[in-house]
Amino acid sequence: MHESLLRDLRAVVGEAGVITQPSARAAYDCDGLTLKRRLPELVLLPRDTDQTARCMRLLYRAGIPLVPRGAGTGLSGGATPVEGGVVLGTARMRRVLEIDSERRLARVQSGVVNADLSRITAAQGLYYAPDPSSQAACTLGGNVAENSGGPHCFRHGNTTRHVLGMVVVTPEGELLDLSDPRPDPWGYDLCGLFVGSEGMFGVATELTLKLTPLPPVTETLLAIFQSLDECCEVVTDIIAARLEPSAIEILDKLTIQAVEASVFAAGYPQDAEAVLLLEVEGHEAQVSETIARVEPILERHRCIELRRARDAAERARLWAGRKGAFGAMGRIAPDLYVADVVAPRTRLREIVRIATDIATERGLAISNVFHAGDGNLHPNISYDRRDAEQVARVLEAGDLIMQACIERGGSLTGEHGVGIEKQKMMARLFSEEDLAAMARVRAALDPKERLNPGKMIPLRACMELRTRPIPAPSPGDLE
Amino acid sequence: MNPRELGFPLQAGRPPIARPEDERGIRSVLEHARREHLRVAPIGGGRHLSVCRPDVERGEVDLLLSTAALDRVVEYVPGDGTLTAQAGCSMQALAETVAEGGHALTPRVPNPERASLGGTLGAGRSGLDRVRYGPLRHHVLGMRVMLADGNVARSGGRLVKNVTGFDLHRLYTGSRGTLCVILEASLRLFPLPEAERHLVWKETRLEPQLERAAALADSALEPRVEALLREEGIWELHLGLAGLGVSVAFERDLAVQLAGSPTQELEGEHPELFDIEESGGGTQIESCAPPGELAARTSELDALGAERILILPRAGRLCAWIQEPSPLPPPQIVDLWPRFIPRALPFAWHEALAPRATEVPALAPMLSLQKALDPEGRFASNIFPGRP
Repeated sequence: MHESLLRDLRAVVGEAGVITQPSARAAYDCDGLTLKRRLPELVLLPRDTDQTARCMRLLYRAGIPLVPRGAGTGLSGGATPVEGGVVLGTARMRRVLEIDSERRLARVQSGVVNADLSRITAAQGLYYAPDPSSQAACTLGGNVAENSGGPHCFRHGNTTRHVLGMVVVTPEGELLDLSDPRPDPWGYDLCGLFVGSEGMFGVATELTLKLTPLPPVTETLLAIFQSLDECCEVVTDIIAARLEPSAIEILDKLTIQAVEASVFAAGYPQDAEAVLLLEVEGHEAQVSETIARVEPILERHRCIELRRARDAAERARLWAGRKGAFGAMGRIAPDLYVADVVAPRTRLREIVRIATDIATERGLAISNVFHAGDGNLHPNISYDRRDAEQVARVLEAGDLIMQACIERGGSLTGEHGVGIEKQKMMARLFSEEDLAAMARVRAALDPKERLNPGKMIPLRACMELRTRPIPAPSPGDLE
Repeated sequence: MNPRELGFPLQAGRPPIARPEDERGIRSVLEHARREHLRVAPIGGGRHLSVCRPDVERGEVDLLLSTAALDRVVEYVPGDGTLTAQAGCSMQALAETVAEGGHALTPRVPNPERASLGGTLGAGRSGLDRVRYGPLRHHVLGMRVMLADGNVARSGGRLVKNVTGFDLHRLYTGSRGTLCVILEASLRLFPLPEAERHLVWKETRLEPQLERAAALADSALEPRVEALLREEGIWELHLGLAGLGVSVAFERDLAVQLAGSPTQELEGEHPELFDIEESGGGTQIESCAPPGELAARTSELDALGAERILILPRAGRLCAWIQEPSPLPPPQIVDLWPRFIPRALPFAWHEALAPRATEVPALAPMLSLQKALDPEGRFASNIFPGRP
């Protein structure tokens, strides 16, 4: 890094906002995808939009690529540093700028932690609905970049349905103010396009987010099964019955055992093959009627026990077990590969079986925890990264699981993003034309590919940017 | 233009309408347009051209391209709650298809028998049912489109949850035919309500109705529709409840408890309310305001001579109808634009607003996106009034 550039960046963000020491930079060498690491050239921690824009202008002029980073909890390598690049973290952008309870919205800096927003707004009877498992640590800006989900997105939808506006700094360091929370966008839906763009179009520094009223009644049920298949069938039947719980989650036996042996122990029965965690919210009549209709479905599929959380503390414990599941896997092996595939909801059971077979055939320990209501599965493979041969088997299994989902009408990611982890699989899901359209949009917003270069879109699609001439109509086309 | 050269029937009129039978035909039209340097406007039912495509009226479009012949339901999977259909399907036909499997479609657009899926998506129109379900753009799961160069590109998928790749379908929704021809789209479906009930409160003044609406909004109610409509000097507060039978009964009682006995109560949905946005004709102006400013914004619309006003308090959206508009937009409109969103405006109003067009926030990236996807400007590109 050129000394004069470093001096200019220090002048913008101050000494505390620039990390140059290799030992300190090492904390930024990967995100949750720990298989891929690279030491960033520099880490910048601006405090606000203005500092972000000034830093980005300097980096743009110097031709230096930039990787935006929230809390680094992403699992697909979206925040993995790139060669010769700078990491721009939002860790110091943690101010809640406005809570408007009348309009039910919040304006926040993008480094605010997801769970903190709901904590702050609870007194006004409001909360922020998307609740990724990492919500105690992940930032709202990171959620926007990845279009994050969470258990309650079954009812409330992923992050994109909760973003009303944003302030974005473009790759050139210009401000794009999309913060006006209109019911409908004027012109193109740029907010909708930016959400889930994995930091490749701009850096969102301020967000206008929709707040949701806290439900008057919430019931949390834990249904216990001696068969994972039956548990999956319940979900299919609940969807087919067009019932609308707010969350439908499944944990399999290995996950239950890991959770129960950890600090997240929730009282899940360790001899069960699977548990279904179901939450229903709304007014009293809505909740009681929905549960009354779910119960016969559970009975039909041989649910051996149905527990109902008696109070908020018990509900919180049941959810802590679910949300702590990934962390609890550390008891099985030092490392965890978290797949994030999506399957049509009618094929849940089939995909779970296939994923289990793929891992078992390769001698790998697989546990399943998933947002069953959305068809979003997390087959988790525990491994030890010091064993290179085992790592190869894990990656092969991950690819095969993704391929199986694609072949059954599914997709690569439901909430974690593509990043670098699933990049090569993009070419199996999308055609060259599909990817070329994405590359064109990327080129329109970041022509020099300064933001998060080399992510998401496979290299080949970038080379297809040239427009192909349309073949002239054949005589058969003409009357 | 020689219809024989195109290989599909053309309708008389200006500009001519091409109605290709299939995707190959659409590609042929675009190829022809490219050879002949024609500017093309993809259309659905063509009912909102004055709103979506003022460039047609300005004579800047050489050819309208209809996808009406693409009218096949590609896939309806009741167990998944998803629908994939071609752009030319009518919203009515799609609603009937999914109702057989116990599902409902959003948006509930006016006159759905004449509204096409492609046109609805292109216009980015949400219905009055957005109060419950949110805007249309939240429920588009994926799309297949044809770009100006004839390439077919897909984004998203047919899954209720999916973040793979850029959400280009969000970009195309509401792009008014300026980026691509929508060929096919997948939508998220909702449970068909078991029961419906419609309550109406009538008042001569707006303020008590806004207070009622605020009380209802602060409650546990999750209405499908909540709208304030002023016609002939009477403000009607409409509350449409829909869902499980016991739930609707509970909500009905709660609504009466909070807002008093309704003036009118109906089993089922209101027979005319969903079509209201397209009835009556005249000039339409749309605006938006937070709850606390709805009354003030209504006064501004009144000052423009609004005869009918529709307010969706929860969405913060207002729409006014002016039957006999002045030849040019009143100064308030010009001054306050883009606080007011022109909908069905007279051509002259669009022209008068042209100088303000550059004030649209984020115009530059929008134009970059347009250029990236349609470098030759084949899809005549006027989505902003009088865009230079």
